[in-house]
Amino acid sequence: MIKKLRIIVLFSFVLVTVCFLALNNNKVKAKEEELQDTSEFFIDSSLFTHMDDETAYNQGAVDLSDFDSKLENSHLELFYNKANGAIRILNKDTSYVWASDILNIDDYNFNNAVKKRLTSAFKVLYRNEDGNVKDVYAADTAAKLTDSVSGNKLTVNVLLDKADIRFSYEITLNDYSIDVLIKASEISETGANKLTAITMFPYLGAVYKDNIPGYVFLPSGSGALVRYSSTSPITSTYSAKFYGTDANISKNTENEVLSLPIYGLCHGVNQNAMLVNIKSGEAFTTLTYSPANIDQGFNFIYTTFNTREIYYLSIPGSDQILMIPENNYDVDMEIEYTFLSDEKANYLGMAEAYRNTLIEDGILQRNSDSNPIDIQIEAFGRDYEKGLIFKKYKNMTTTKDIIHINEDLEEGGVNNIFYTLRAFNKKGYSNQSVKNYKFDGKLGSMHDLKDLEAYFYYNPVESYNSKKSYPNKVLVNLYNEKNYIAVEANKYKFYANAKDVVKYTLKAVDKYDGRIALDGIGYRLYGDKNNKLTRSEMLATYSGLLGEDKLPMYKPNYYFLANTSKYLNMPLYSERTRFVTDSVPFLEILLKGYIDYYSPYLNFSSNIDLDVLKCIEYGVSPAYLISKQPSYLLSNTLSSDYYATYYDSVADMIKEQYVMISSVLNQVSGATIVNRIIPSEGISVVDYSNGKRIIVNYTNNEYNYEGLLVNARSYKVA
Amino acid sequence: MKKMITRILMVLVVFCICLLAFNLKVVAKSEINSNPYNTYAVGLDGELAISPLAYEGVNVINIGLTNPQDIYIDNNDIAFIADKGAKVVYRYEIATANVTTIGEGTLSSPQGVCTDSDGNIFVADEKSVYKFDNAGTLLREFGRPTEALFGEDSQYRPTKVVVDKNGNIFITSEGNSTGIIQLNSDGEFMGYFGPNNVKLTASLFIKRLFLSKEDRETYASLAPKATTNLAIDKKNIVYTVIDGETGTSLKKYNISGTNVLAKASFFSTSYKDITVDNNGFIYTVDASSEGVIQVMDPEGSLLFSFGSTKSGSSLIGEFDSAKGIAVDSNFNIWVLDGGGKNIQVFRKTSFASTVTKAILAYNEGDYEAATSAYEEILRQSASFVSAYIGLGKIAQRLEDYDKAIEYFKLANYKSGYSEVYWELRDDWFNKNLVWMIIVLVVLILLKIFHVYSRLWHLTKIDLTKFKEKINNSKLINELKYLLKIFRKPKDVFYDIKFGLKIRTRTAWLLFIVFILINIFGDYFIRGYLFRSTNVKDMNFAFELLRWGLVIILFVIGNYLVSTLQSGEGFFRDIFIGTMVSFAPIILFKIPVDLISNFLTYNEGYLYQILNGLLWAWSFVNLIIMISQIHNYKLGEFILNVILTFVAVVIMVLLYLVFYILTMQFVQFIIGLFREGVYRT
Repeated sequence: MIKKLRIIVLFSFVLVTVCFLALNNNKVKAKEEELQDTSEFFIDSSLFTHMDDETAYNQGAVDLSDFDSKLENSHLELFYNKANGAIRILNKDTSYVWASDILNIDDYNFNNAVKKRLTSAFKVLYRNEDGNVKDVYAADTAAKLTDSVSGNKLTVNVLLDKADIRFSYEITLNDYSIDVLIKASEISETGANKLTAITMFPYLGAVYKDNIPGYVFLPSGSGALVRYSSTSPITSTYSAKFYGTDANISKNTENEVLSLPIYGLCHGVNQNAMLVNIKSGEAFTTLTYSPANIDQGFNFIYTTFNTREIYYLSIPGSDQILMIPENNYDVDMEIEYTFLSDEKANYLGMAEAYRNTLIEDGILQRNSDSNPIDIQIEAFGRDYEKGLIFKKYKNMTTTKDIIHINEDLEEGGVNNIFYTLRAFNKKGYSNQSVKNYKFDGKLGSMHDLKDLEAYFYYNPVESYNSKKSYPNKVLVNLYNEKNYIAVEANKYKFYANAKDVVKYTLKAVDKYDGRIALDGIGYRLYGDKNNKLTRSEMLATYSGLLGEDKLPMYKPNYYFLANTSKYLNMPLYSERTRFVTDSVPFLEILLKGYIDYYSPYLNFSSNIDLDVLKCIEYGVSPAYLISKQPSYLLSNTLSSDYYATYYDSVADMIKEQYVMISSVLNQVSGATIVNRIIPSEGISVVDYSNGKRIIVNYTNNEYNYEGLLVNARSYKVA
Repeated sequence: MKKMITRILMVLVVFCICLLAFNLKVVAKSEINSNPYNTYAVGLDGELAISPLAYEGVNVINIGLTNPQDIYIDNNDIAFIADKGAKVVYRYEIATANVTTIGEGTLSSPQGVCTDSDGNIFVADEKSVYKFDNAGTLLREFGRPTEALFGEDSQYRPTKVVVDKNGNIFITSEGNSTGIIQLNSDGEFMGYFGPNNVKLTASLFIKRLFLSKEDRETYASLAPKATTNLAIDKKNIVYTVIDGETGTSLKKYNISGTNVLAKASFFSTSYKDITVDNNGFIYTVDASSEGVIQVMDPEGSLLFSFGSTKSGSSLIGEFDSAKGIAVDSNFNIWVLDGGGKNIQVFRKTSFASTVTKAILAYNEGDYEAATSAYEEILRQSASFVSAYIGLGKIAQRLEDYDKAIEYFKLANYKSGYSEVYWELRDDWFNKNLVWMIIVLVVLILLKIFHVYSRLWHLTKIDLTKFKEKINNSKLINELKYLLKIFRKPKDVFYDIKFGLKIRTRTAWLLFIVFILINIFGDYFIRGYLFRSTNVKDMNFAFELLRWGLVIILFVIGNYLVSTLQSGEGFFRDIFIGTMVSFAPIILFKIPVDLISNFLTYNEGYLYQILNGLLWAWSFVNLIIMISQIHNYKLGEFILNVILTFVAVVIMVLLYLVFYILTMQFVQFIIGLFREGVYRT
């Protein structure tokens, strides 16, 4: 009896414990599942555009007593201050005054030195005989300014007294813009001092803390806004070179790339805005943004033209030697400030204004074909891993595989595919180099794919190796070192020398008769000391390199847009810079209806649902990077970061996403984006030129927009 | 002279240390995935590989910090930040972004902060731990314990503090390496918790040997390191990190104060802070250049690491010097950047959510959910090794061993592979044992009834000529003679010396065969479970040197020493003798390696013993060889062995000195040239 009782007690004890544990576990599970359902798509972060503060900003009366009116037309009037060169531009349409100095500066209690700095039209840096940095501001007594007007042009001659440096700048007044030009030929150094940098109008459009509602626009990623605020997450200024750093000068760095030579300011959304376009000298220009917590409470942004590149040469066993080139760059510096008013005074207006410039310059042509959108499938060919003596090749995709994949996709409802063939170069991806644009016979030939729209992938700029030493054709930088970037343990990336990039790109384009997709060249711009090419000369070479040809290009910078038939790897977000508050689809607005563009590889996305919605909102065609063989085969090769390419596991996803995205985007194919508003956080409404409207709801709740119900994490076309 | 040698040795040691120290990691980000920064996870070869983005930086918070040291987030999602520069603790309400300060005027150098379950705030200041109530009113001060047990000379300079559910306070103190100071809720000293220890490793020993007295304590101290930071989970389990420690820099203590985490190669040597979320996942920050933030599952296996140290950066995911980490109730990671004076907030991507889901589902035994989550992970990242291991373990539980072994092999997960292989081998034996016995019996019977020899006669093949040829071949005879070493080693060495039984060219042949057998055995023939090498990492030249150079150096060293020591052997004798001594390896290494293919870790000792035996035997042969060939007595023999070793070391050192001097010279010439070119 007692035995039985014991068993019963024991049994019930176990039962209770098990139940207790099970319940406890459920709690944990519930917590995790809850997270899955309620976690939002980072809507509060800088990956999204936020609602605008549409408070009207009233500038009040502007005192122009120290200024003389120099130039005027029916829209703008330019005022000039002799003492410090400061300019103020009256926008007659809105009666708004843009000032290169600080308005009502006496209200702030600054000392004289600060006042001088804040009101100066320019800042000049030079190196003296001993190599020390010296600066001169326009308001300094050492700077002697003389001005003259002829027609719509104001010329200011500058003599920097003790520095023995002279230069002059011309301000030209156009309909809605002013144009500032410094000719290289007008710069002269009569003493031992060497001019290094000129910054024009650093405080033009400066905003004290958050006094003015609005933002700064940066061409970072798809486009970035920095809304004015009294504080900032960064504690030093942000500087970036247009088109990224020059690999010939900076060692081992790959900074984010500002792909267009522009920036913008908005003072009062839909009130006043300014688009700044660096028309010449941008290859040597640095963009600087200074948030309110750094310089006297002002948010301001400016560009600096580096007239020569100073660098340090390190010599083993001794100190670094300061190297100052003898001559300034032979490049003019030209900046155009375009003033936008009312409904154009926002990032959309900036995109439109810039697009008009590009159309005028013949860079963009309207493409209003309303064909169904296509999809980019990038196939990965082959790579090798180390064997005992011989390399072990991993053939991931052959041309036959592509034909099969094409059949499979077409059966799944995916048509209008264009293929790019990555790693189809001879002997595999790790073997790519500027000279290696031959099709690897082991994978088939270009001819096999004659019925498909296929492009050979060619990256003339980058090559990889498992060692730091690379035979030849590699860029040797200013320091006389082969320039490499460590990508992973035992994986180094090299840049080809600039001369060969030009030479072999032409050969390759010729060989494939235009059926070639160019990577690297579009966004890596560098000079080449050994071949005596400066960055600016490379830029000039690149912009004429392909003539009238239009090719698919990966992330092309401004100077290759004219040669771009398809913009590949279109960014969906801004670069994740700390102080950026919003991402905007500036590039997409600029190019929609002009150049087709394709997403980054969606199968590599960590937030796939979010990225698909972004594609729908921004009108981005989907792109995938696939291989016929499982990706883990690449794990011992230098291409181990191609970890999600296996076609069999992504095929269904591709079909599903294509059907979804194309059903929306086909309706706006060939149209341009005319408006985009954020009615509520996480909701985007995009209007197209053909009258269609796409509403995307990123939130976890359904949203009613003007009577139209949009489901959570979904979209509607109206 | 002595000084000179010491100096050279110092230079060499420093040189070697430098080589190790400057082995920097990864810098550029992958261009394929368009992620803002690289995330790493354990890849198929067991090393870190680029993985999909796990955490997206969503916010950077700047509340005007001066010199922040620690961050803590309580259950109500209130963040506390200890700011040493501002001498306060900031209280930041996550929901409202409301900031208030605590301890103004009281605190002089706050470095650590936490709360207890009642919401009281504990702050580790330089001389005391202060307890404030929720509103910031000072409740009490925990000064230096007065109990004798605490130790008269023990330091009490609190840096970090945590409180368990029962109100026990755990305090780390600067300069106190005895352990974590544990107080009860009344402030009485309860003892030291989880003391750290120091292992005298070979490298430590060598460092101590060559460093000066002062440097010895800074660079190679024998005192254990003080715990850097600590965390406590809801089950009262204490976790600690130790800055500057290798191998066991992260510890998870059970209640009795023993560490339950195994050593892991990815543990950082520069941990700064640790925290644990409600699911038991571990998060750390360190000062490494890449992978500043580590996320681990409750067992301490690394899931992700991301973020990098870069001063003056303006990008999310890059830190001046990350000091603290905390996780809020939505599993967002808050990283305190001490140098950047801000807090960066990271949110899980859907990829990371899938990973957490898979692990939790697996731990709960929900294999169906776990399988689909793991498969989704592999869709997104084919190199995410824990997904293969997870799928393999599930297959193992479901007794689908073929699938399990495939996953384990892919994941290079040997202990799992061993278990599953045991099952598969067992199955195979069960299925085939009967047949095998029958076949064996039949074969034996055939032998007994002379069936083989009869069959042989039937074929009428005449081998006499061939046999004759073989018997006449010098090489074959020499090799045959080699076998004698297993029976009468002394005779063999005698014959080598006086009978010239083996030619030098045969010894060279043996030399080559020895090298090849070792390389092939280690890389190709040895069983997967016992193979510690990977063809991918193989450096063929290094392998050649490893096996060949040691022998050559030994032979030369021994020859040089024994000529001085009136040994009787010629160079030729020593070389041939050495090669002959390795006959056990040459003959049996391949068979032993072959056998290891059929063993699991259960019978691993068998392989170890066999392998050890072969080498031991060879060394015994070598000993016999030296004494026999040089005709040494015991004393002479021992001296000879020691001197040979010294000679080899000196040869290596000379080479290094020569190498370093040449490199210096080359650098000097380059420098001279450059200076000449650029200065003019």
